[in-house]
Amino acid sequence: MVRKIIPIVGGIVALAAAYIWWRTEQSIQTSKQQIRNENQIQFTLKPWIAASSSGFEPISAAATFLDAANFSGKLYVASSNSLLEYTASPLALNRSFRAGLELPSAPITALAVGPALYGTGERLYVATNGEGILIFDGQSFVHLRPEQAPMRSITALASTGLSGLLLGTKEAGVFRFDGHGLSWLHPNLQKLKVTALAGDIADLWIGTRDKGVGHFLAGQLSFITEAEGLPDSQVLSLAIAQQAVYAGTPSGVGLFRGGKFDRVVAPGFFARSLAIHSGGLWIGTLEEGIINVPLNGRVQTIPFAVDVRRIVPVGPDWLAVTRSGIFIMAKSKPELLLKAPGAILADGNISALSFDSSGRLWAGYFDKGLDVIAADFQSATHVETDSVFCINRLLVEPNRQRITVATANGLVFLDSSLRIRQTLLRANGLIANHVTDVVPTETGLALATPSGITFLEPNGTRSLYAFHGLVSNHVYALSREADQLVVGTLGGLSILEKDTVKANLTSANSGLKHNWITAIAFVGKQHYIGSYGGGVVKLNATLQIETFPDMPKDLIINPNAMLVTAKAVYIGTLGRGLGVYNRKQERWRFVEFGLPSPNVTAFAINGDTLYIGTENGLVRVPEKNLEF
Amino acid sequence: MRPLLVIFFLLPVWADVGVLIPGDKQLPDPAVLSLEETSVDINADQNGVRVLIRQIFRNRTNANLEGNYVFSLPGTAIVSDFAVWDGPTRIAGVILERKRAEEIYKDIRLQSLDPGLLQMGERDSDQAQRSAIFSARVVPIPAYGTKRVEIEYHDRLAVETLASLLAIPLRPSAYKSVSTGRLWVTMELKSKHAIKNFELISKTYPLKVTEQTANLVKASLEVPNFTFSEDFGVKWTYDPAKTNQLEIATYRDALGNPAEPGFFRASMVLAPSTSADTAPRNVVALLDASLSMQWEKLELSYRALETLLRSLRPADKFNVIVFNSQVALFQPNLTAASTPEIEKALTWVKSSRLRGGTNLKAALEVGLNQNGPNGYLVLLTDGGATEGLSHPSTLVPWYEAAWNKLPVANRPRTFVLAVGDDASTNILKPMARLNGVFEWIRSTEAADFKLAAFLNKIGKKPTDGVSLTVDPKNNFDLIYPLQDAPYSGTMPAWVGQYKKPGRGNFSVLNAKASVTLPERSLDNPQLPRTWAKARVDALLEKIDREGEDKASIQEIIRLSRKYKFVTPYTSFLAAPRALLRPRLIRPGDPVLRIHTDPSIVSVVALFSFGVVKPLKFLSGENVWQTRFLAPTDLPDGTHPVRLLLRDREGRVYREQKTFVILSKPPLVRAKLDKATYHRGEPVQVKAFASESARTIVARLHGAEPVYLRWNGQTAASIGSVTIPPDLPPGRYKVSVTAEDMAHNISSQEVPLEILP
Repeated sequence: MVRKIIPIVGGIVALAAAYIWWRTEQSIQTSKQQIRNENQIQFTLKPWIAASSSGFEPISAAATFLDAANFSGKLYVASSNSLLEYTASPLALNRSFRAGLELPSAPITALAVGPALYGTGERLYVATNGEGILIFDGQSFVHLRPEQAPMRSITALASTGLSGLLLGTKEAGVFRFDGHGLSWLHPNLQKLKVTALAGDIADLWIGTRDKGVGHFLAGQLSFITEAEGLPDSQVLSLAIAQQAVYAGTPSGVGLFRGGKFDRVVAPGFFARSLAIHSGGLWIGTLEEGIINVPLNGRVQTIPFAVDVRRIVPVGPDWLAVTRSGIFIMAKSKPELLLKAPGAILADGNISALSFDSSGRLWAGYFDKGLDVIAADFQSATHVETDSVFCINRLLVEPNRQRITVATANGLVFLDSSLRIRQTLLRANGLIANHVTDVVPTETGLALATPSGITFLEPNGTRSLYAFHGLVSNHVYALSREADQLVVGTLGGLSILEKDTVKANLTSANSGLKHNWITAIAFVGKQHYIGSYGGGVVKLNATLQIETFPDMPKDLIINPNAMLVTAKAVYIGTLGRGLGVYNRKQERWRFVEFGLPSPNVTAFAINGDTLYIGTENGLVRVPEKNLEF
Repeated sequence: MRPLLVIFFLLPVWADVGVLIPGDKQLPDPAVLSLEETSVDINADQNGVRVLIRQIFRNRTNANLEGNYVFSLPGTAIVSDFAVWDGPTRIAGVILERKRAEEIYKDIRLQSLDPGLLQMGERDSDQAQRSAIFSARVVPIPAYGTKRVEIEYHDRLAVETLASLLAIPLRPSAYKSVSTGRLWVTMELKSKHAIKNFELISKTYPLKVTEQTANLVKASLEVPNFTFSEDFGVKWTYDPAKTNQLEIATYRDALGNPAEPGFFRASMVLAPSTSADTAPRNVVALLDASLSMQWEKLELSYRALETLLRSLRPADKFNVIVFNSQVALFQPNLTAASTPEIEKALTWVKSSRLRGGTNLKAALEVGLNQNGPNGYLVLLTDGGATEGLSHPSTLVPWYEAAWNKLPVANRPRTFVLAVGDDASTNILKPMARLNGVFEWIRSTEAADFKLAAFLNKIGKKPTDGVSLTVDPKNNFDLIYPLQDAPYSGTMPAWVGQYKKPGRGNFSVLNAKASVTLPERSLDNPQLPRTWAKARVDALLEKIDREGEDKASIQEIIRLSRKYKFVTPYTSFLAAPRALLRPRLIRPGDPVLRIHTDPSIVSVVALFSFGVVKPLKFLSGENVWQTRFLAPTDLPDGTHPVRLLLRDREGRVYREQKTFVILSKPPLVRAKLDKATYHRGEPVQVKAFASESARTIVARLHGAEPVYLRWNGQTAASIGSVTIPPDLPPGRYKVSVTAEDMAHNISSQEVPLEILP
């Protein structure tokens, strides 16, 4: 039980804090010096200042638990968009640290507890996908941020005591933080796609995404792959005991003894997490609960939950971290210890937003259905069917008393009571089932699809594609103004007037920076064109392309992530957060602070409040807070 | 992360000379699986052609591999054998009733083996689209070992204007090249009708004729390190001096079974017409612009339309009808076939829009009202009628009645070009019997020969009175014509059964033949299968017309099994190897959709960039689905995705599929051989395009579009556009358009000046 969690004594005294601050500053200075040693990695290390006062307010999304750790007498649980702190006795949520506010704008990926590498006591290390790691002393965070982006995508942590903290990355191998600096362990470890780490610096086991298990022993690196008998070359988890190392894969667990591959344990099981307990091995699976492999016995399935992310020791107990709750591994069967906190949104990966006429917010999900959030934001209704799934666009049509939902599985009309009135597919005349965007026309709707455009009109559907002159079949975005329909495609822009292609603009025959158009909006007298890698440009009335002098290079605009208000144009970017164009000052500004992710995917406006969807949650902010 | 244009392929679209594609790749990779030897045996006679291809592939890696064997069949071909060698053991395919084949297939899959299942004729367009491609998974291919694959098919040989073309589809599509370490071709052409002008039309094959008489040609080649850059093709003509002679071929193998019937084939090469038809023609072209026509079918139909219109003479009149759920006329009435009017019509067609439904009846009604004397109604469609009358049992009789209501002089000849593997031939074929011509072009066929033959018949009339009379009548049964309307210069033929040996008398027009129907003769071994196929076609037509009946289905299954060819009621099971489409992955976008058999209870996708995604089961569609975002740094190309499928018993199956990222349209750079030309002169176009380019087309105002073909010597795609002789001098542009398999297009215009 949690009461038995061993409390870590570690009072924070002013003197220690001052010392830590001094060491932190020292480290920062060190990192700024010319790097003489080629094994050293440039980074910054500085206290993290929360953005709580920025006016951004998250709308709670269902937490997906990823990891847990016992630190300083408290239980810390990581979900992708927050770190939750629970008191041990009674077990209660004490604090939450949210991505974008109390933590940087990046999903959390892993936790580890280890000795402080400067100062005294222990630290909680919080890995993120995109922002390096946070070092938590129980009171405040210090942000360790490698300068190069690939090294900031941390997938695995392993504390090796005072030897340092090992960091495994998505694509940039393994490196070490020793309290003074970041350095490579070995040149051969620099490009590994790391999924798990176990062991120590002298005898390190590395789970990889594509090369099986790496064994770094006495400065030599070797790999054990499917060729040697490993059930799969994609390793998901590692567990290490005195005599044995286990490597969990999607197809079973590989057992190593004496550094050599021995045999496959529990073949066929998707071994997402592993834990070695006194009686044997627990395997946390994706869909089949926990598998117990006794030292001398038959494999036993303990079906109690799906998707067991981690099995972690907490004092004498073991906790199984699942998507929706944490279970304590009791003798007979796991017992629920705590459930993920209640939330309004069913998911955090937002792909579309829109307000209806009664003030309800419709939130569509990238690979789920949609939520309709009550006007008071106290509750939401989830809608998910075969067709209301993988949402691309939500179009409110008050005059027709309906919401039009563009999805990967067709075009769906819902009424205000959330009943599906009609679903249109290719069989009903659409040129493709997948509808990427929808805009109203004078008489109906225009739909963008990967196979061309369909016009939905009272007398039926009609479609056109490259055969009819469209610059490309793959249409991602539409914008209509009067008789003109601007069509954004993979291959450039097509401008239609009265449904006839009047012009095709590409990077070869116009000022377009990139052919792949992802978002379009009409602003004043011109269309703003967002693209995948070319930022935003303007298409004027004479079909000339104009550029913004302050638009960053190579900026990627997410599909349909563009919103126009009286004051500003908002764009959602991939990795650069929220772009804000001040229409009066004609200047751009980019904001990451306050966002749960720098990948901004959707917008909606209600009065003077802007709602911003990201791949990792939804936030709202008064529009005035974004003025500059 | 980024949303991407992603295309999934369960079956590669890349189809040509049999290729073995490594399981994790989209295209052949000789560094992994090389084609060591290819042997092609061709036996042709007036009954048709039998082609046997044997290939040996070598695994050049140190791992056991699996591969997808893909072979593109000619349109009318039927696979009669397929075998994979497992070491010294030849594992041959067998024909089974479809339901039984599927049961066995499932059983074998549960034993973790991969059986091969070839089916055809499904009504679902997604399936039928591939019915002309033979594809099977071949596992295992041992490390550094070889795998031998054999495929045999039969095909008919068409005769047009006394000429016959025999083409073996060995040319790689997609503008790639495939090489074989050694190539053997042996060919034997026998004909009871005298042949002449035997000619090799594919210049890269160094075929040597070893024996040649009026009724026999033998030829062969053996060449090392050969690159397949074009189809193998030969053509010949029939001696006009020896036409209108009736030839009879027979076969009977009745050992131990006196009730076993014999088979005959009667054929006659009709003399070419000596009079040119110069009367002005009234041509109404009906182009189907419904959604089912999207992509290749519409492009092929448009190409046919363009060729048709450009072939009209100034004295002719024409009109164009574009139809789907609505019917639109280019002009209210027939209009003169002038070049400007034709260009206008083509532009008008391009400005039309696709619509969901197909009201074929309404289109035909408008078309019939447009006609005048010497009229032609040219229907370009897949025949997928969805509105108005749509069933053959109602639509065909209605059309016949409407056609018959017209004054005799105004009854148009109904020319039907059916396009696509899923064409509703049961609707279209009977329509063409109204004094017209039916032609069907499927997805894997080189359309040129068929299109030319089809359009060439406009302005010509079939030879009257061409029917077969047999005597004694009661000794013959189940006689079927192998063509619809016999034209001068073609070779009408009939197949049938005779009950007892004896004397048989045959007559067609004024030609007569009296032959001995043998008690035993094995001279024409292909005859029984040719007859059986004709019989099955007739039964299928009856089922389409009148609905299914048990007796017909049982007979189809029996004939299919006995004579070894696949029908809609049977399957070809090449156990215990290979795989064909138990799961369907649909193209188009970053949505992964997997169709599994019902025993599967969970599907998880593992992407190469680290994302693990459990799929959601959509019960209404009976499909598993998720979607994903690929990282920004994932390059264009083919990438693997691994699927873990778990069944009710907890067994886990692993499958690797690939998806293609094509985020950029193909690049194309075109050159002409010079800058100025005279009218009537050919323009040599050379284009360099990205590897992803699937088709490259050159267009010039007023000229027929030309599809450029890969040429290994120039390392470019080349073709020749002929400048129309009547094109006014001036400055023009040749537009060269490249399209990839995701239908991304890009084009370049090259200026040229045309002098008088």
